[in-house]
Amino acid sequence: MLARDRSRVLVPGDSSQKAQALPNVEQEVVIGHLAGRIPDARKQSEAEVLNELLGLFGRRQVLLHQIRREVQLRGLMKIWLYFHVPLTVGLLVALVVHILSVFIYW
Amino acid sequence: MYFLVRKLTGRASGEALETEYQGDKLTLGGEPGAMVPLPGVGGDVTIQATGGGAGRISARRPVIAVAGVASSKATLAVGDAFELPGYALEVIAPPQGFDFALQLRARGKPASTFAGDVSLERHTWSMRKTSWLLGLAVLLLCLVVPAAGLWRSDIADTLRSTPLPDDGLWSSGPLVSAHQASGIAQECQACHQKPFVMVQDGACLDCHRDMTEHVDVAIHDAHAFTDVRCASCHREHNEPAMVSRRDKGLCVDCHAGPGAWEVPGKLPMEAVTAFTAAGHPTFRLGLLEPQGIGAAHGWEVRRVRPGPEPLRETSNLKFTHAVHLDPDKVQHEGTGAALECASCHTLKDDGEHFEPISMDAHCRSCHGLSFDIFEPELELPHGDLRAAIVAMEAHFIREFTDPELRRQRAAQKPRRVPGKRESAASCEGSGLDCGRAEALREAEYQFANTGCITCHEVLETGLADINDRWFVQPIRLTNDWYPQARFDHHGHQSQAADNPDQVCETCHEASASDAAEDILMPNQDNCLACHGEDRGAATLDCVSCHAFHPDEGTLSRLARDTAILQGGAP
Repeated sequence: MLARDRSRVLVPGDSSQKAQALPNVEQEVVIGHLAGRIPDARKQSEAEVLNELLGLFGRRQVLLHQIRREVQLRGLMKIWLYFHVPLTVGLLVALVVHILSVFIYW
Repeated sequence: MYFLVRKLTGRASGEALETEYQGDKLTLGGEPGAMVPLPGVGGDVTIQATGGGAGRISARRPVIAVAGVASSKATLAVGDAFELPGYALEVIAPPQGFDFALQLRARGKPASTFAGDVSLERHTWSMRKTSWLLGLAVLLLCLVVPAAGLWRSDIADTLRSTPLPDDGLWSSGPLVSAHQASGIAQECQACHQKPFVMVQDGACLDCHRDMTEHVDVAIHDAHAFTDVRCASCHREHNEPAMVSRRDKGLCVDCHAGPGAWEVPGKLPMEAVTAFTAAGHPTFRLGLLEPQGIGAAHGWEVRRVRPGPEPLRETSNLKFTHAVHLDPDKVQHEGTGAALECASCHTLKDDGEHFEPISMDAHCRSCHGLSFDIFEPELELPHGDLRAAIVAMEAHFIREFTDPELRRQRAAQKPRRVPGKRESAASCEGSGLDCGRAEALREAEYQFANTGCITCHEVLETGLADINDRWFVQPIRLTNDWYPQARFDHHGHQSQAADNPDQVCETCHEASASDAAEDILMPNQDNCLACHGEDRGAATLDCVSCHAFHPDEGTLSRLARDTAILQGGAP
């Protein structure tokens, strides 16, 4: 409902520290990591692959953001409908009652 | 076992993505962990190879459609085609080294499902159930319960005396204050006598028994008036509460062209389109006129439209407003202050008319009717000619017949009173003769010189008998100059802000009137100056001045019964 991003990414450990899962809000950790690795690429092909991967994660970021937003809006709408639909039905019945009562006491 | 799944990408003809799977069975579907992920397909679809490229497919739900028939299991041979929701599949001959091969093609967009459960139905109350409950509650509380009172009045009374909803719930607005009475305000049935039937005139006329029709239905077509329901013009439950139509159309719809309502032998009505100089006929004054000599046949009101010559009234009174309002000539008897309009004219409770002027209340304090200076406190009776003459004769005969009174009278020296005759102190002759002679002299003086003749028109007949010798013309003052209009003097007191001492004279120019025949009523222009339709703020509607139900109209109770007799619905 709050569109909170609970993505986590497992950062592989090395000899000094264990692998740990870090929050990866809006894919920033991965994107930051990829972006940081491009200048360090030893070969051009590696840089190209990394660049492509960065582009893909960028798209993933946009898509995830849109999905999260859509799920949030759908949730909010469901909550709204929980009030809206019964009230509307109730008011429609009230409208029918009103029309009838007008003619009862014409 | 080796499975081959050939997924047609649909991008170019025949372009396909082939994937190999190894295992004792092939699982397909949207569940996490399925070997062939097919988003939107539920039911744990499983395929087992039975050799020779054939196989057996099963699922926990009937999602497998073979030739359009859904089932939860099927036997597959090479060349068989079947469908899963959103996908078309075909068993193809497995290449060398494979036990089973499938060709898969997506049909349209795969049904998407969220990994997370965003549905509230399972966690909260049901929307559908809530809607039904709310709808039923409204139906029950707003219709069924109040309607129960329609069939039994004791239920209605119970509902009204408890917090339960009663038929007052259906009221669309407040009643006017006059209808906020017991027996009407809460009792809807007082007016709405039958369900689904419009309020009938009888319901109104049960209480408004003196209500009259707009016209005399003996003269005009009864149906044109009695067929119009009371409620056509008198609408209740308005907000703000207003029970009568006040729009111009109420009158102008008919009176703009009153030709259709002409009555033979009567003056045609003039057209009215608006309250402006051009749209409204000139006001007609109701002149009270004596019928026959000395008003022998009474008085009648003749309504006259003013012409170029000013109209005169014929009340037979002699009076001058100019003198009475002149502080140098007339002062209040007690205080010595100048007279003002209210010294004589007292407004009635209706705010329009004034209490009648009478000799005893308004004139006698100055214009006393004493007739004998020897006994100035004695006064003649007023309003009865014969009683006055008898009083004079009786007094003077007694004065001259009783020796003691006659002696006292001769010895007295009364003070001379201006405007009064010097009565005889003594007389030679019998008491009867002297008394009669003195009475005749006094009567002559009263009727011909100063006394009755001051205010009255006195006709001298020339007959010898003292009782028949004079005739005093009767006086009748007009009380209602505009009988077809209503007016409120109270509201017009606001004129006092500009002219506090002479607020009446703003409209009635009394101090300039020297004769009783002058008509001091303001004309139409005086009203139009403020209330004309083209004046804006103080514009009046027709019914502010005119009554729709005039006194001369037929009694509605009778007229509407007549309408029934003439073929209307009973």
